[in-house]
Amino acid sequence: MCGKQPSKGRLHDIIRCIEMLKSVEVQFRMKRGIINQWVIVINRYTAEIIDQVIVKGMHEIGKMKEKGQFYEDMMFLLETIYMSHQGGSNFMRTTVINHAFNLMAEQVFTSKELSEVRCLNQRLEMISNWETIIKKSTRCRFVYWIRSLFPFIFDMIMSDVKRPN
Amino acid sequence: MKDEVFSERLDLFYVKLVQWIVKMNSDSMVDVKIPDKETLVNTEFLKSRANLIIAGLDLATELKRNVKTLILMY
Repeated sequence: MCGKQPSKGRLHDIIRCIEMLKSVEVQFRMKRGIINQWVIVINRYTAEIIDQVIVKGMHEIGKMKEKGQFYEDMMFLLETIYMSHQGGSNFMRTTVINHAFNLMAEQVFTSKELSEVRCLNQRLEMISNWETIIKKSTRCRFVYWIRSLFPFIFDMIMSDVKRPN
Repeated sequence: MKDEVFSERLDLFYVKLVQWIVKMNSDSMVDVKIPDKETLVNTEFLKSRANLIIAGLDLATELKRNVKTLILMY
């Protein structure tokens, strides 16, 4: 379809898409205060679940005390992850946690625990940055690139008698 | 995704969006205290609220990706 003019039906779809994006934005904006309250509690809860898995890992390492340097290194990594989880999520802490997990040996966590922690970390990051994500996702700067179609789009909006507004 | 099926895909998004908005404005988002099951209920609430926020973020991201793909393909 490259180089072809979009059909009238597609213009209608584009307008619907923009309306839907804006309605998502409106929902988030209307509930901004309450969502931020939820986010604080959700972050604490998620960090608590992650901490439980980390503490379990610490117990596993505790059994390897006779391994000397390996024990020291793994314990240091787990302590770094544990401390990074205290006090909320940000970019720096997420980077430190991811690096520490990359350096971690396979014996400490099972693959299931590791994927669980990674999933929870991702969730924590997403929820903490919800305002940035929603701002990026709902801004319609791409409309600038179809500015030549504005006359048709506005004409369609004005001539559509079924539209409530 | 083909140009012809975009409209159908959009209808599906619309259904998802309406469901999401209804959930966001429903009573399930209001704090309720049940003395016997306080902790469990609260954690369930947290899970559903976290899922709702993530669903909204996913929906917006997917919608934008789709419309940008459609526009930039012409």
